[in-house]
Amino acid sequence: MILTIAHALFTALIGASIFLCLYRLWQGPTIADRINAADVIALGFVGLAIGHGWKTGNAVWLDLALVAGLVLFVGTTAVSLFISPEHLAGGEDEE
Amino acid sequence: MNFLLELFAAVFLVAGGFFAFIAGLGIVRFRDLATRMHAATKAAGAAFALVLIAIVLRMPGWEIGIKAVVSLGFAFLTLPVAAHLLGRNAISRGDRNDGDEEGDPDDR
Repeated sequence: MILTIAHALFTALIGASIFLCLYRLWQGPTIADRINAADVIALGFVGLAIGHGWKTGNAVWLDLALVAGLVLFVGTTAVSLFISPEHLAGGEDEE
Repeated sequence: MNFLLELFAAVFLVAGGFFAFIAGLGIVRFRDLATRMHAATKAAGAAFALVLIAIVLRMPGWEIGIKAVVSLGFAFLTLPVAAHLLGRNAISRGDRNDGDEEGDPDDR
């Protein structure tokens, strides 16, 4: 009973957070805002995975959360390096 | 005792969801890039920690505990690094402070 209520409330709150971040992903004035919002959206989905493991009592979803957090860090780092002006200038043969 | 553990696990899970909601609210409502990244990093990190505490209280044991501690330590190492890289590259692009709303920034 209490597990069902808590999981429903948790899912609703994470879903609201994901939709708020979708607004910033759509509207964000700079590209860094969009990257940041996408990062938080992905972290929200990781949270949903942990919440599912919490509800069903299955510990496999914790491994999934660990690996997804790792991939999330690599993705955010790669995209934020991609928007840097040093990268966009094309390396050392400029200037 | 078992019921008390489940109650605490439920409280921690809902608190984690609440902090995730606060992170989303801060991302929408704050006025420029630096404050939005502040909301994303700190509130989302707190939410992640609370949800991991909830799952450890739900299934107590060494295996889940070690996995949760490793996951939490990894998140606390990588979230500030990613935010720092993103902010540094955004500032060197010149995207520092161009908010999309007009008016006094202290009112928002």
